[in-house]
Amino acid sequence: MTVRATGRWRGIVAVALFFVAVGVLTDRPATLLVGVVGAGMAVYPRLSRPPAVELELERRLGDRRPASSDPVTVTTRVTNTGDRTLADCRIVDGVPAMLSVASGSPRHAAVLRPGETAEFSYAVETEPGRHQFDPATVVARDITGAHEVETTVAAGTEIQCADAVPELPVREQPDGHAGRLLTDEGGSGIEFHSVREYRPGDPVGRIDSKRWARTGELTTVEFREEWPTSVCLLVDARAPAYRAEADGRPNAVAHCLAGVEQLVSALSETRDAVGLAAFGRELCFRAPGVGTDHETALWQLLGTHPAFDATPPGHVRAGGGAEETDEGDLDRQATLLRKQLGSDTQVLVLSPLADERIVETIRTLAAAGHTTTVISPDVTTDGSLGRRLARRERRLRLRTLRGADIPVVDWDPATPLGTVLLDEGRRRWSA
Amino acid sequence: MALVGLGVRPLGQRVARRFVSAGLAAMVVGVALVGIFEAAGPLRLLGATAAAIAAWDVAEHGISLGEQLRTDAETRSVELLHTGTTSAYGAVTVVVALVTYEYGATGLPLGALVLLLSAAVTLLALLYR
Repeated sequence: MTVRATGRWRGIVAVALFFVAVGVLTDRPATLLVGVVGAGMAVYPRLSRPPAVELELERRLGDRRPASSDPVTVTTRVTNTGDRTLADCRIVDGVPAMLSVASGSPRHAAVLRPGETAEFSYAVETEPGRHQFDPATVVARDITGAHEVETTVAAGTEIQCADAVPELPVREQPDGHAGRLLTDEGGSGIEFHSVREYRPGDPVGRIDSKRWARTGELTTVEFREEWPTSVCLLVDARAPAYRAEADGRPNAVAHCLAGVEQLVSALSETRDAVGLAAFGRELCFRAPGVGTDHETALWQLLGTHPAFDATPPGHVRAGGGAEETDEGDLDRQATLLRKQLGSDTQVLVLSPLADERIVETIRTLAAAGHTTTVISPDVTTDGSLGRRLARRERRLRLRTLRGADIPVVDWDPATPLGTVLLDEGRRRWSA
Repeated sequence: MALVGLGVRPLGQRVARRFVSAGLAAMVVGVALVGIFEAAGPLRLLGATAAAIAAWDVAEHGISLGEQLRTDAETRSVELLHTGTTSAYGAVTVVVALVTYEYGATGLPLGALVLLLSAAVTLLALLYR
């Protein structure tokens, strides 16, 4: 909860002083008197205190498990549980980052007497997957507007929407980024590889008994060895990555996070070790691992770590200073990550490729010997010159990466990630 | 002069706040000019100033609502309450000032001086809080 003074009445002091000065200089008592009104108005904001905000929030969903692409009506009720009237209570509901509002407005302003309830409803477009509502932001001003209190009210609400395409077991993409890694080494496994001469120490079960019965010769059957891969999912959540097609549409980081959630749940069904990392507010790193505990830790990290926040960090102006520190920050985070990554870990980068530096970072990662794949949600649009330029720049970055032998999946967020990956798998990773 | 204030207010975007401030300044200067050259009565001057400030306050409040909640949110009750309170307080200030002015002192310059002093003390207290 933050309390701040808005300072909106400050200029009125100047008005009061102005009238006093004019009245004295021109010898007009009536004008001088106006200064009293000015002073009275200047005192006005001092008469009120910052409001004490005690609210309760309740959300009702028209349909808790809607079919895909049906708008869902969300009714939010905010009740004043304190004993003071909130004269100016502004509520912005925490619509899940992946969902966009179809009709109505998730924002509301109301006068709330003690015990009174404000209710407003709006409809959201649903996207496949599980979506958690963020806490609603409440800004309460006192009656004069001199102080405002900003706080959040939480209510754990969730929309679960059936996936349009059944989630893919990622192992269906043999040499993709995340499937089981099939090797050309002979050993124990399932798929037949070769037959070789028996060497002492070979397991008895692998001796080709039929051939031994037929010829009396000892041979050992080799199978294609399967190694579990270890994959690190890396999310680009730096300030430049929080781009969206338009206001009110989910930003690229939200798309990336949704993609990560799908990949984590798909990969946790295989034997592959999954790790998680993010560039952004701070470096987040969780080394690849397997098992239920690890999976729980990953989900917890996705839900709570500040780097995995789908709302953009506070206004980052394109001022020189901020940009430079950001650049240094990315380099530092990338170096740290390279130090912590095991050398045989594949890296799967999810990034909108919104600037050059992430391209450099990805190339550095690939050059350091990590098998790197990029999934890039496309949030650019046509329209103004600037937008077209952004789109072209992104295409060039894709081309740069592909030129450096790094496969890039160009993901249009309108289609589910599973479908896109399946298509890519069919095309054998356009490189 | 009121037209200045009215005409600039519907303009949107970030410049709106600046326009509203300019409108208040224009109205304040206008009231001052009327007070100097036409020697208008205190009621008209006080009323005009209080109304100008109230109008500015409502406009600024509306802009802040628009910034935080955008234009499609339901905000009527809050705006009505805010407008009502500011206007009522303005009216009370005007009445108090007038009553003190009329009955508080015998000589005009003295009465004005007392009020000037109290106003100055208030302002100083505000400025050096």
